[in-house]
This record gives sequence, structure tokens and C-alpha cells, in this order.
Amino acid sequence: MTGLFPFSLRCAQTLLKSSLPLILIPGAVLFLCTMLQGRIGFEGLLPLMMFSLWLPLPLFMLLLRRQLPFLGPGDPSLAWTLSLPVPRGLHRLFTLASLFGVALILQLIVSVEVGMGIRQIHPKQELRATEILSPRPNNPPLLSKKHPIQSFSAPRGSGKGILSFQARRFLFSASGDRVRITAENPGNPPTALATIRVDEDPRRMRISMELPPKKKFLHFQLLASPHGPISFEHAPVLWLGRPLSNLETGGLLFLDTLPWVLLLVFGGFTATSFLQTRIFGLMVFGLALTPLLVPSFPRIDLAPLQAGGIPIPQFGLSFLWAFVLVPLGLFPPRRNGGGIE
Amino acid sequence: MNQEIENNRRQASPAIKVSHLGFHYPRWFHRKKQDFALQDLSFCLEEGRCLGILGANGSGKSTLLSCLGGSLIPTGGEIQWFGQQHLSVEIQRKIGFLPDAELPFPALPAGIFLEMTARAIGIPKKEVKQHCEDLLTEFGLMSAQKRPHGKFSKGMKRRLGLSVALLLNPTLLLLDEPLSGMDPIGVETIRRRLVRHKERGGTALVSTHQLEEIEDLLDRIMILDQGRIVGYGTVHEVLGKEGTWNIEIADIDEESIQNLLQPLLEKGATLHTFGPSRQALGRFLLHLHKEQ
Repeated sequence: MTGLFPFSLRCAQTLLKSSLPLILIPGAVLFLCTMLQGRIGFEGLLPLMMFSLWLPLPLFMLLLRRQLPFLGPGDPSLAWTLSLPVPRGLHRLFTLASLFGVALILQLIVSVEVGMGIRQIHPKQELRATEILSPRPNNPPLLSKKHPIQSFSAPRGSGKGILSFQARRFLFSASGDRVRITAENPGNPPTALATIRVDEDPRRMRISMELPPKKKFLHFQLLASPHGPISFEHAPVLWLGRPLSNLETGGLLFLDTLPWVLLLVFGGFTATSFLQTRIFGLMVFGLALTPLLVPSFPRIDLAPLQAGGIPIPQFGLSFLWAFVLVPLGLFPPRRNGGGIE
Repeated sequence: MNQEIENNRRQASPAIKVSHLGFHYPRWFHRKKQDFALQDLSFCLEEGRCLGILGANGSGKSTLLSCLGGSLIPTGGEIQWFGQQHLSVEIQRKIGFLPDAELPFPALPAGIFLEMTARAIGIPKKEVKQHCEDLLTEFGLMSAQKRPHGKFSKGMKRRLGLSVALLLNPTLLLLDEPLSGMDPIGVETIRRRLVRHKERGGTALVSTHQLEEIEDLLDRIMILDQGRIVGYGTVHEVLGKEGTWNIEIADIDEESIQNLLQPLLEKGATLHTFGPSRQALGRFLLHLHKEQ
């Protein structure tokens, strides 16, 4: 079994070498963004930078069948691999380990590059760790005299930060309305943080405040509204924490994309055992589009990025379901001389 | 000695037993009419025997060897390897299979590739280097061991593939076109290896288009056509029926040989080819190689 380590390392080395050109993609896109910077604003350039975060990994998976031509039906070296007296499941496990390792390295490098790129094109050239505060389920849709309070989970971080509002419908009101923000830890009296005068365009509002530690909720309380109730529907409230270094930015982007990486690597690897190369390519791009096609799939929200924040991943350990694909990927390739093409 | 080996062979159990073997490629893969690559093949290869598989392109030689080597699963019939129906890793360790497939990692130097494969299949680390060097020397690849094997000629790639197949000193060799792309020196190397293999009591199943190169080593030949066996027996039995003979005569000038042939032609025999032996080129190159 230990004899498979050199084989695995060799697979990793081959994959790493072939994936090196892919790390140029974010750089090329950044160059393009820099050229366009005068004509297109940050919000317009951001999707381009995010595209460069998305593209390298599917391309890397496409290279997989060419670099390791023994994974599935129709591959030119498959017969050679199957002739080796090695447990096939173990052989695939070691190959998957090398693939997974290289995919993680590639995605980390690309994430750091994209993080640097976003910082470069951001007007203030500063990125902060961002949390999207989730509203409590019993929140009223409108702030009115009858229901004057809306509550949100408090950020996990504490200390100095900025509160920002993103959705157009959030705090939709005429200017002049006043809202008080308080932090609360159940059992303790709430701490007043700020009182704000609601702007016409809430996206321009950025409220600097210092959060006390160990708080559980943030409350938004309508104090006075000469114009009637204020809509709070679909209201992502962002907490922009401390500024991030390039590595931290990359690390957060990497963690944000981790569920997608796992799906693409494990799902793609499983698919190699029964798909011919061409249809495998289509499948890889299908898997790569999962965050767009499946709304509940963990993905990076553009709203925090537009506010200059890198979202702190919210998915917890739920992405571990992707590891269920690992045993499926260990099934040896179809040996009927065909494979789905 | 020979009598003893022959007696052992008579008592030997089958290394491979094939019963009503059938294989067809999936329809979506093989759209042409000829769906069946193998049809109702049955034969038995006793330990210590050497069987040659002959046939035109597409007759099923490689498919048969792939089924025997475990890289294809038959769609019908049964294969037994050393009495076992399941091709376990233990059985695979007794088999040296040279498939008609590309070797992976073409950028890797041949020596490192061989060593990596040797480690992967469980040869102890301290034995790997010496063992690989022996094989590379035997197959004339020692001087090219630091070159990427992807840049090798076809014959050199086959020699490297053979080295891989022989890493575990298998008792059963399944060789798919081992002589393809080989120069006479390579052919001679493989011949020598097959002779040694037979002397050790090993079994071999070799597909080839170059019967003349190894026919003296083959106990039996099997001719395939469209996935069926159309001829089985010794070379003499199978090809003798055709009434065409090949004679190689040495140490004689052209005029004398023409005089020798005259009576045969008068008896109504047809002369297909006449000229210096093609094998003379091989011997000439071998002679040069030995001198070097």
C-alpha cells in the first residue's frame, strides 16, 4: 500500500505542473479590469473578477483526463492501469487524494489572487471580513408604531466595524426616519450602539460602531417616522469587521468556495469512472454551475462584495455531505469497453 | 531435461481455461454492424505452454487479451485463471499483461517510471532499483533510462511496457503485439525472454502478426476471424493445410538455388517469392549490435 504514495505524488506533480497556467487567469482578468476601470464601476467589474475565481477549477478538471489518462472509459492508458496487480479501489483512492490536494492548492492560490484583484479595483482598496446578519424568523415585514423592532443575529466578531445595508428594499423610506440600533445579550439590558437617520439610498449608509463582546442580537427600533412604516423585507444587513490582509482575503474566499470545490472534485472524479471524456467535460461544467442552478447551494453573495467585504463562510460543516461521493468515486472504471459518451 | 519438462506439461493444470467466451462492445460505443468482438470462444492453455494468437486487424485478438488481462469484462461465457473464476490481485500478480495501451506520465524518465510502477505493485523498496536496472538492461533501455518515455520510439515504448509486465516475474504472460514496431534486436530480446520463460515452465499467450519471428516458440497457434476461432493447433497442423511452404537455405549461390527449384516448378508448384532471406537483415543488425 505504501508503494502507492510515490504514484500518488507523481500524479500530484503532473497535475500541479499542468495547472500552473491556470493561475494566470485571475491576473489576466485583473489586467482587463484595470483597463476598464475608468469606464466601468466597481460593481460592474466585480462579476468579472468573480468569473476568474470560478473558471480555473473547471478547466483544471477538464485537464484531469488528459494528464491522468487512466481514470475512465476510453482513456488511452486505462488498460495499462487495470493490468497492474493493485487493488483498484486503493489505486483510485490515492489518485483522488492527489487530485484533491492539487485542487485545494490551486483554488487557494486563485482565491488569494482574486482577493488581491478585488482589493485593487475597490475604490478604497480595502476589504473587510463580512458577515450577513440573519433576521429572526418572527420579524415583522414593516417597521411601524405597532411593530417598532426588528432583530438580527449579532456578528460573531466584536469590536470596531461598519454596519452596511445592501438590498434596495431595505429601510425603504423617505429621509428623516430615525432608527436606533441596540445590541442585546439575553438576560442583560440592551446596549445602545447608534441612532441613525435613514437615508433615501440605504446602500450609501455605512455606520461605524463598536460592538460589545458576547452579544446575541442586534435590534433595529423605529423611533420616529414622519412618513409612515418602513419596509424591512429581504434585508441583508452586513457587518464589515476589521480590514483583511491579502492572505486572509484569499483564505476567506477559498473557504467560501470550498463546498463547490468538494462537489466539483469528488463529483467529477466519480463521473470519470463511467463517462467518456467529452461528456465528462460537459458534466464538469454542469457541476461547476451548481451554485447558480441550485439556489440552496452555499455560494458567495455579491452583496457583501459590493460593500467591500469578503463574506465569512456561513455553511458550518454542512458541506461535508460531499464526502459521501468519495466511496462512489472509488468504484473502478466501467470495463465494458464503452462508457457513456 | 526436455522429456522431464514435457512430462510436467502433460500433468499440468490449465493456466487459462476459456469457455464460450463472448464479448460485444456497447451499441452506443460501437455503432457498426459488427457488434460481437468475440463469439463463443473455448480453449484451454496448460501451464508451460505457449499459444500464439493470429488474425487480421479487428479479428478480436486484442479484445481477447483484454478479457484475459482483466481490462474488459466478458459479456458471455467464463474465464478461469489458474482454476479461479475471479481475477483477484493475487492471481494478477502471476500475470504479466502487455496491453495495447499507452503508458501514462509521458514526461517521466523511463527509469523513474519503471521504479514508480514497481513500488506501486508492491516490490520492496530496497529491491526496486536493482530489479528495474536488470530489466532496463535486458531490454536495451539502460542508456535511455533518463529520457522521458513519451519521446521514445514505438519499439522502445513496447520494450518499456514489457519491462513493466515482467516486474513481478509472472508465470503467465499475456502479450498483445509485443513485436509491433520492434527492430531485429528488440525481436531477439523478446525471443530470448520467451525462451527463458518457457524453460522456467512459464505460460505465454502472444498475439502477433509476425508469426515467423516466434513460431518456433509457439506450442499452438489460434487463428481468429471476426471473433471466432477458425484454426487451432500447431503451426504445422494449421498452416500445413494451406499447402504453402517456406524454406530458408543458407550458404548457396543464386544459380544453384534456381537449379534446385526447377524440378519443383516442373511438378506444377507455384513460386510466390524468391530472393535473399529477409531474416538476413535481422541477423546482420544483430551481428553489428554484438560487435558494438
